Amino acid sequence: MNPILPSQLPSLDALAQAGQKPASSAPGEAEGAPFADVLKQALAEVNDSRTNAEQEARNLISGNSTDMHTAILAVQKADVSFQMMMAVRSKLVDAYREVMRMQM
Amino acid sequence: MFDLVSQNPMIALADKGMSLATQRIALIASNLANIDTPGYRTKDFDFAAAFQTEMEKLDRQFSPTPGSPASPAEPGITPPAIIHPVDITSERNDGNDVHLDRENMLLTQTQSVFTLSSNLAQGELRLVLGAIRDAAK
Repeated sequence: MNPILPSQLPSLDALAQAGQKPASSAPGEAEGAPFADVLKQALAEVNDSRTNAEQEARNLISGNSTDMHTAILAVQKADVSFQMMMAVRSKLVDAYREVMRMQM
Repeated sequence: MFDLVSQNPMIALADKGMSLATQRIALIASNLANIDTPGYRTKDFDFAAAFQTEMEKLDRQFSPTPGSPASPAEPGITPPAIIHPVDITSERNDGNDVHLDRENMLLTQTQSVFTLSSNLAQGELRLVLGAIRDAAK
């Protein structure tokens, strides 16, 4: 089985793009999507992958589809996306605490 | 609020799958037990249709249509209608129409549905547990 590349995880793309500053933007100018929107989109993608996994599981149990690998892959993808989301969340909270500890 | 089974779509789905699979296994077991009973007719139910009914109930619960409020979680499952799936003409001289091969095949099939459902529920519960542990750190 091929390893899952980071680019295949739904939540990573938007975050990676958010980290890259557009080269041609002047300081003070609005740059790309707001960070909150990026986070919201990533969350929506994780949620979509979980809904998709549930649908695949339904199809498999009800006998509408017999390809188990599709369902298992969808479930695993949803799992990994969710864990990725949790990891990003932990990092964000850590960063927030770090900033709060800073001495002015 | 902390009812994982009725609040999580995946666990609720696996729960219904396991309940229906258990009922079907019970029917298959009773068919096998009565393989020598004169006049006994094979009992079964339409698994796909029963599962579909449960899924429609789940849909009403988790994604209510605008205008109608979300229906509360319904505990348990609707008892599926018992049918006699084997054609009456294939019964034996004593009026018994249980076919060992058919029951064995259905038993294996239903067992795999049960295993699949329980694995899905396990995976989902592990995920929830991971989220709780992560948040408690």
